[in-house]
Amino acid sequence: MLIPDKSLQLPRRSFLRGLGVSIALPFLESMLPSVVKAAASPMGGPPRRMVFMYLPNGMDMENWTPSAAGDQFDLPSILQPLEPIRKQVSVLSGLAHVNARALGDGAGDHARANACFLTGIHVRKTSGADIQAGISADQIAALQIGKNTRLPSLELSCETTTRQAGSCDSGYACAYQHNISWRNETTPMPPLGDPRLVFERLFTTSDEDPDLAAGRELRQSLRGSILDVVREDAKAFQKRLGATDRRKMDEYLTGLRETEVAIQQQAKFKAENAAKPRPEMEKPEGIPGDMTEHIRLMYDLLAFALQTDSTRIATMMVLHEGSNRPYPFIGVTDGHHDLSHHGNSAEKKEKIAKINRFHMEQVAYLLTKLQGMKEGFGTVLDNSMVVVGSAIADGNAHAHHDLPVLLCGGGGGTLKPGRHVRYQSETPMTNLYLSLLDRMGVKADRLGDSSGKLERI
Amino acid sequence: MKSRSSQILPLALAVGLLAALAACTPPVVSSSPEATPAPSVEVTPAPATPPPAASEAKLEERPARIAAQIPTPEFTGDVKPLLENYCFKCHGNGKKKGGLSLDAFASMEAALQDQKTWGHVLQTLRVGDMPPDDEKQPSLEDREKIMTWIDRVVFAVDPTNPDPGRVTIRRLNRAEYNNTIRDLVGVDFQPADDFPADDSGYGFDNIGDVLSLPPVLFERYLAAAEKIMSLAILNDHKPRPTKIYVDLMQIEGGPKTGTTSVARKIDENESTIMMELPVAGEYAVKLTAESEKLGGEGAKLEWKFNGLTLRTTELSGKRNAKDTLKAALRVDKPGTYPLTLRVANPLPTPETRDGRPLNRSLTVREIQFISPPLPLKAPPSQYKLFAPGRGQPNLELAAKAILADFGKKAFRRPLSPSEVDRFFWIAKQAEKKQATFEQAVQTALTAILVSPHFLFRGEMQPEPDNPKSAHAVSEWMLASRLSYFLWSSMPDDALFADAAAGSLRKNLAAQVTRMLADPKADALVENYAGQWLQIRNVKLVQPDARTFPEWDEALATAMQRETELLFQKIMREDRSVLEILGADYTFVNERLAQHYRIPGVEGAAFVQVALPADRPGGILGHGSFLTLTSNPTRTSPVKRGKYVLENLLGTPPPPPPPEVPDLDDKNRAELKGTLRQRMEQHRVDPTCASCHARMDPIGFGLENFNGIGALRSQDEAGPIDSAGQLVSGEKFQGPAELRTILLTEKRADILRCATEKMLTYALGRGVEFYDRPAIEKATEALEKNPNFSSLVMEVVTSVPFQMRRGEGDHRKFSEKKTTASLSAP
Repeated sequence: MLIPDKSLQLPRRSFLRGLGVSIALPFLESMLPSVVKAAASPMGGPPRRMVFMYLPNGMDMENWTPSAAGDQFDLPSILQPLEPIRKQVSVLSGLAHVNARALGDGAGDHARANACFLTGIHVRKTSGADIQAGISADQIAALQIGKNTRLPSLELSCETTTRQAGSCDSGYACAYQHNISWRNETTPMPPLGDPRLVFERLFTTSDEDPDLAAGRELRQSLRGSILDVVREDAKAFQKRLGATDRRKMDEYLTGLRETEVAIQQQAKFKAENAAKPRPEMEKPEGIPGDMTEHIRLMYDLLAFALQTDSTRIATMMVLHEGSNRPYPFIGVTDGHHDLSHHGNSAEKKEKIAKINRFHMEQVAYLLTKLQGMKEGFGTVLDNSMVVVGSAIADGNAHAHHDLPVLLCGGGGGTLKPGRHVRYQSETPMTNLYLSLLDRMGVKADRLGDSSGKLERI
Repeated sequence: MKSRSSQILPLALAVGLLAALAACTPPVVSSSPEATPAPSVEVTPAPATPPPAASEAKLEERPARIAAQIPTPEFTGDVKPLLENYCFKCHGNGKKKGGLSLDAFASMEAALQDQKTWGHVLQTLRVGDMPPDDEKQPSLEDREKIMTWIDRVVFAVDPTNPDPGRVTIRRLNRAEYNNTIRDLVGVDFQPADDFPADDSGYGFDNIGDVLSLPPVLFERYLAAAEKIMSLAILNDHKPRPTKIYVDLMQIEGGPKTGTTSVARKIDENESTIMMELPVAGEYAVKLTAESEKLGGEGAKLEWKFNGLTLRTTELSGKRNAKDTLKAALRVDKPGTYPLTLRVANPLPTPETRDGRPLNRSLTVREIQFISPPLPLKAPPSQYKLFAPGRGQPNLELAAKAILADFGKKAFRRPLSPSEVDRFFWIAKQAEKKQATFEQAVQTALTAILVSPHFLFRGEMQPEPDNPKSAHAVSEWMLASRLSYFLWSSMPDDALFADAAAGSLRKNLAAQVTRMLADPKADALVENYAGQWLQIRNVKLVQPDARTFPEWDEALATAMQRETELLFQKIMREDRSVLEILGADYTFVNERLAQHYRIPGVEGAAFVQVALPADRPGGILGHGSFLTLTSNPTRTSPVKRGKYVLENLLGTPPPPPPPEVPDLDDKNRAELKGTLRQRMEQHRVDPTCASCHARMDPIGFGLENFNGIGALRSQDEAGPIDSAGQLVSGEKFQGPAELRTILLTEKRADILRCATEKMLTYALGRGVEFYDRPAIEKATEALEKNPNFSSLVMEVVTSVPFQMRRGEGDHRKFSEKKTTASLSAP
C-alpha cells in the first residue's frame, strides 16, 4: 500500500517555471503523483505507454520474415526502412489469430480479421441486426488505468471520413471492418481520421473557440446540471424500451458517464496541461489530400499525445482491413486489396511489397520521432510498447497464422527489443497482449483465444 | 384478451387507410412508357376478420404463393418427393454440390432450424436459377409448393396475420443531425461534420442496430449542443468587437489575374479596398498572405489608409507558409474609407520564369477588420426560439412555453408537464448562478439537444419485450418515420399538425405528395440513391492516371451528378422506377458530353439529351456505375455483374468461398488471351463457375465501356466481344440487348429489388423473411403502376412501416393464433 506523502512531492508548475522553458520534461519520480506511479509503472519512473497499429491486407511475407533469429537478424526489403532504429524493433514470428478464420462462417476474412485483431474474438456474422465482437486489449487497459490521464485512450486512423457506400465484406456489418478498438461486445470505439479533430481533442481547443467565449464559465458550470437531467431522461426512457433498445440506452449512459469523467479530468489536468509544451504545429485544417502527409500528421499527433501524457493507450488503424486504396505516388496504381489476391504473380507481389515498405517507412518515421523525445534518462520510445501488425499474413490465401508482427520500444525496461523471435506456429497473438497488459499494471487473465502470456519478449 | 386487442389495431389502421386513400387523387401522371393509370392503392393485408369488399377483390389477383386460401403444404407428402425428384441428383444421397445437401439434417427439427439453407433454396427457386437449364424442371405449381412450405413452415410467415417486425431505436446519423438542426434551430452550421463516421449495415447508414454511440460521440453531442445554442442565442448584448471580412473580388486596381473570393494578388501597382466602417474608433486589420522570395528578399507590403502611409511590413517568403500581417487604424467618424496596398520593393528588372515575367508579389488569402465594440442584434433564430414566450404573464411561464414548444419539435412529440418541469429546473439552476433570462433558457434548450429523446427516435410501445404484441405506431411516430425517410430530417409544422389532430393516416397520400414535392426531398437523392446506387463512391475511386489521363475531379463530379439527376427526375416527375435502367435520355454537361462523344453541349450546366445509339440509357450507360465497378487500370466484368445482381435485380451472388483457389497456380497453364478468354478459362473451375456464370456475362455485355465508362471497340488484347448469355438462358449482343432483356425478363426482379432497398432505408433495418408478404404486395402493385410515388406509397402503407411489435423471436409472433385457439374452451 502506497501512502502518498504530499510534502515530499515537488509542485510541478513551479518546477517548470524554474526551468523557464517548455522543452521535453524530465520525469523525475518525485514529481509524479503517487497514484500514477502505482498504476502505470510499478518500478517508478516515467509512464509506460501501449500502442497498437493495424496495417491491412497482410504482407508479402517472403520479404518480411528475417531468415535468422536472435539479435543478429537480417532485415528483408520491407523491413529495411527500420534499419536506423532496429535496436528498438523486435520481429515476432509464428503468432496467429485463429478466430479470424472462417470456422464455418464462409467468406468475410477482412471483416473478421479487422475486428479480431485486438479482441481475439470470432465475431458474429451479421449485416447489422445483432453485432457481437468483444472488448479489445486497449479498452481493457483504458477501463483500469485510463483515469490516470486526461484521455483514457485515443483511437486514430488515417482513413478519410467519407465511408464507402454500400455493403462491406461478405455479409459482415461495416462496424467490424472499420473499428479495431471495442469498448464491449456491441460498441466500437470509432477512430478519428481528421487531424483537426484529433488536435482539438488533444489540446482541448474547443475551449478557445471565440464563438463560445461569451458566457463560457457559466456554461461550463452548468454542464453538470444538464447531464443530471438527461441521465434521468435516459433512465426513465430505458424502462419503457425493449431489450436491444435498452442496450442502446446503456451506450448513451456510458457515453454520458465518460463525458462527465472527461470534464472532471480536464479540470484536474488543467494546470498540468497548461504547462505542457504545445506541439510546434498549427491546428491542421482537415485531412491533407496527400496520403503520406496525412499519415505523418496523424503520427505526429500520436507522438505528441504520448509525449504530453495526454493518454497512455492508443490504437492506430492506419487503414481498415481490405482497404483498396491505390498508391500512385509510389507507382502502384492498382487497389491494394485487388493486388493482395496476387495469385502468385511476381509483378503483383512486388507491388504489394512496395506498399508494405512504404508503410514501414512511415512506422520508422513514428519510431524515430518517439526516440527523439527525451524523458528522464531515456526516450518516450524507451517507455512505450508499440505493436505493429496485421491479422492477415498472406492476402492471397487470407492466412491468419504466422502473422507479420513487430513489437517496438523498450516498455520502460521490461522489453528486450532488437531481436527476431520465432514462436511455435499457432501461438495466439492475444498472448502477446496479455503480456503487455501485465506490464501496464493491468489485470487481465484472458482475451479471446489466449492461452497464457507470451514469453521471450 | 391481449391477443385480441393486438389484432384489432391493424384492422382499425387498415380501415383508416382505406378511407384516406379513397379520398385522395391518384399521383400525377407520368409520361414514361411503362406507366399505366394508377390503380387505387391497396390496403395492408387485413387480419383474420373479413376485409372490406375492395380489398377482397384484390386478394384473388395475388399469386398463389402468398394467398391465404392455399393450404400449407406438408413436408413428407408434398415437399420431400419434389426435392427427391428435382434436387437430390446434386444435393442429396450423399452428393452436396456447391456445399448444399438437402437430406443430411440430423432431424426434422434441425432441418427447420436451418433458415440459412432454406432461405437460399427459396431465393434460387424464386429467380429460377435452379434446377439448371439442362435438368428436368418442376412445374410452376410445384415450385410454389416448395416455396410456400418454406415461407409458412420454416419462416412461419402468415399472410393473414403479417408480422410487422421491430426497428431498433435509431439515433440520428450525421446527415439527419445536420438537417434536423437546420430545421429546428435555423443556424447555418453543420455540427455533425465533426462527428465520427457512422457505421452502415445492409448498405445504408441509417440502420438502428449499427448506429452505435461511443463515448467520443457523446462528448461531441454536448459540445455541438453548446455551440448551436451559442450561435442561436446571444449570450450577452454587451457591445463587442465584430469581424468584418473584405470581399476580395471587390478590390480595385492591381493585377486581375487569378482573382477569386479566396485569393487576390497584390503587386507594385496600388490595389484599393473601399471599406465601410460603421462607427468611429480604432480598428485592427488582419491580413493573411503568402509570397515567394525573389532575389533573396521577401515582398514588402506598404499599407496606406485614407491616403496616409500606415506602415510597411515584410513577408517571410517561406514556401507553403502563410504570413499574418497586422495594422491598426483610427477613424473619427463612420464612413467609407480607402485602404491601399502595394508591394514597395519590386525588382528593378523583373526575372523571367518559363518565358513569363516574374516580379515580387503576394497572394492575399483573407483580410479582416476588427471593429471597436459594436452593439449586437439578436439573430433571427433567437426570435424564433423565444416567440412562444411572448405574451406570457411572467418569466417562469414564458420559459416553460418556450421549452414546451422547442421540446415538442426536438422530441417530435408533445412533452409531458413533468418533462417541461425537468428542463425548467435547469433554467432555475442557471438563474441561481446569476444567468440572464436568455442564458437560463439557453442552458435548458442545450439540455434538450443532449437528451436521448432528441438524439434517438424512440418509439414507445405498450409491451416492448413481447413479440406477440403488435400495434400501429402512433401518428407522432409515423410523422417522424415519414420525414426521416423522405427528408432525412424532422417533421415540419404541417406533419405535426396532422399528428396532433390524429389526421395523418387520413391525409397520408396528400402528405406524401406534398413531401415529395418539397426541396427537402432532395435528401432522398443524396442519402438514398447515393447509397443504393453507390454514387457517393464516385468521389472515392482513383482510376490510374496513366491509363486514364482524362480522369479528373470535374469528370467524377459530372458522373455523380448525371446519376443523381436521373434519380431526381424520376422522383420529381413521378416517372417509372424502371427508368433507372430504362431511361432513353440522360444528363450531361460539356465535360461529360465530350466523354460520351455527344456533340453540341457547352458549359458547366447540365442539360437533358437523347442518347446516341452506342450508349444505353439508364444506369448501365452511366459513367458513375461503369467507373465505380472498375479496377484502377481496367474494367472488371465481375464487379459490374455483381453490382447489377446486388443493387438492381436483388439477387446477389453468394460470397466467394473462404479459401479462394489459387487461379494462377504454378501447376496450371498460364491463362492467355483477352480478359474475357482468361475469365472463361477460369470458370472451368466448378467452385467458381456457379457464381461467376451469373456475374460475368452481365459484365461482358458492358465491355464496350472502358474503366471510366468511355466507349471503346477494342481493348489491349483485341476487338471487344460484348455478346453473352445470362445464366437463365437469354442471349444478347451488346449492352442495348442486355438492357432490354433485363427490363423485360427481369422486370419483376427489378421492381422487387427497388422495393426491398427502399423498404430497408425507410425502416432503418434489414429486410427479414417475415417481410415477404409486404414486399410481394408492393411488387405486385408496382407491376401495374411502377411510378415513383407508387413505390413510396407502397412502402409507407406497408405493414412494417405502419406497425411494430415487441422484441423477441419472430416465430413467436405467428404462434399467437395457435396459442389462442388452443386456449379457447
